[in-house]
Amino acid sequence: MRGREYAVEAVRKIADAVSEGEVVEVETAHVSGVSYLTLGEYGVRFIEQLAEWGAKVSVFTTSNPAGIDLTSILGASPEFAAGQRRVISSFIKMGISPISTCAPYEFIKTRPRTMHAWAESNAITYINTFRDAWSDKNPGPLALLAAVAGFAPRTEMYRLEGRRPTALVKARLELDALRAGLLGAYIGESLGSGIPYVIGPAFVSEEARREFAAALSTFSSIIFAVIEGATPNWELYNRLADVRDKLDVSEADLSRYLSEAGEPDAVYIGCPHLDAEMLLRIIEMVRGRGPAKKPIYISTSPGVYEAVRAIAEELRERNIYIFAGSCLVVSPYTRRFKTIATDSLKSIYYIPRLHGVRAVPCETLKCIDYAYS
Amino acid sequence: MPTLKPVVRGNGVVKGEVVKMGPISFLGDLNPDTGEIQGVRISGKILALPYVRGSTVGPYVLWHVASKGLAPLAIVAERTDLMLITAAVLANVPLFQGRLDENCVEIDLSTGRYERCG
Repeated sequence: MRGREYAVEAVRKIADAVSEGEVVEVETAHVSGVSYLTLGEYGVRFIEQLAEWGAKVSVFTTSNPAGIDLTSILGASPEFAAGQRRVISSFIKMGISPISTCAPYEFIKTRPRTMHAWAESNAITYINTFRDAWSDKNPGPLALLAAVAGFAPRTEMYRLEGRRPTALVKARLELDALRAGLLGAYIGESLGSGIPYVIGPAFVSEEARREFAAALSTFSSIIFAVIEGATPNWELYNRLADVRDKLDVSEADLSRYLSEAGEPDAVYIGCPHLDAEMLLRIIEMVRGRGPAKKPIYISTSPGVYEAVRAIAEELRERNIYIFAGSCLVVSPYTRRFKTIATDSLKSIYYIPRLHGVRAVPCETLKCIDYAYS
Repeated sequence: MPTLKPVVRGNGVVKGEVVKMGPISFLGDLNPDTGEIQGVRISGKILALPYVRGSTVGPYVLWHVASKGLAPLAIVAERTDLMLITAAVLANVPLFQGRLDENCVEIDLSTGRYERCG
């Protein structure tokens, strides 16, 4: 099996360079670099070659959002669609679940102290922070090779002593999705790296936890925060902490990233993919209304989409597009807009950089209101 | 003889011009078809930089350049990370940690020992 041999040898070589040859067996893997937009032709060829060599994943492996969603709401050129199909069919050949979500933690119960080879920074940060399930920030290709090999280089994040908190952050704040993202961005930019031990934040929803993890890891190289009282084993991390930095976050610090909304021509919710609870709240809010004046795009996981499929189809006629399998960060569809209003700090970081489109922040339910004004 | 720390070892001894760059992102800065960075050819040369940044799909770009025979002879970086190491392994390009001020060196790819071109 040439594919497996190649992957085993590559992961071992990488381990020689980063962990004195030590590797760690993993329970699951999650592969990023799936959209044809970010992969490009060269990435697709690498993945195709690995599949042609007969590589098969040896652990349960999921994949990140693609450039086109499952119901083709986000249309793309025939060339793009053909490129995207090549990626997905190679994944299927290798045994990867082409689930195309950036929130695989929604249905994979990563237990505390279990090992995972994930790529996609929000997902890694979420399982490290809210589950104490261990993953390093594996580059997309390394997560793919580790999925085939069944093990990853045993870097510091896979050792308890490498997970010692290095900074003490006080943030006694109540956080909805937008504010959780603002806090993540602020801590990220202030510290840059290390492992913050955070006292005081109250995340009011699942969406808020996802936004915090996504923003923290977008604005820094941080992929693990210990939240006092919330992260499993937080008392242990409290004892292990080796504090070198201190940070106090106040209400006023969160406003740093807020800007005037201007005139958004679309609204986007669901980066990371939206959970069922907030999606149902939004559905409840829009069902009694007429058509939205500006289109609302909501990306979610295939599981959540399937549960609301009938309503999602009905809402399309009212200018509201719920979709799964992709997101506006990695889809070329985004380029048709000038300004997108969103509650996602990760989108605010990436959409201008990847698409040249402006992205402005708003609270989740206020974002929805924009679409009707 | 000065020595660079081998991170991803190779075999044999190579001699080449040193191309010095600031921090680069393989995705975006390295042209996958020509093997050029900001218009400068790196194939057959020794690429020296402080560190790499940017998208984690970057290793695919270096792999593609290498599969076209346009890879650098070696990369020397002041700071290495998982992404740069993954890129070097995928592309089969020897990687060293350290700093090169010379304009042309001869490096032993397995030990990292080097000397200025004679």
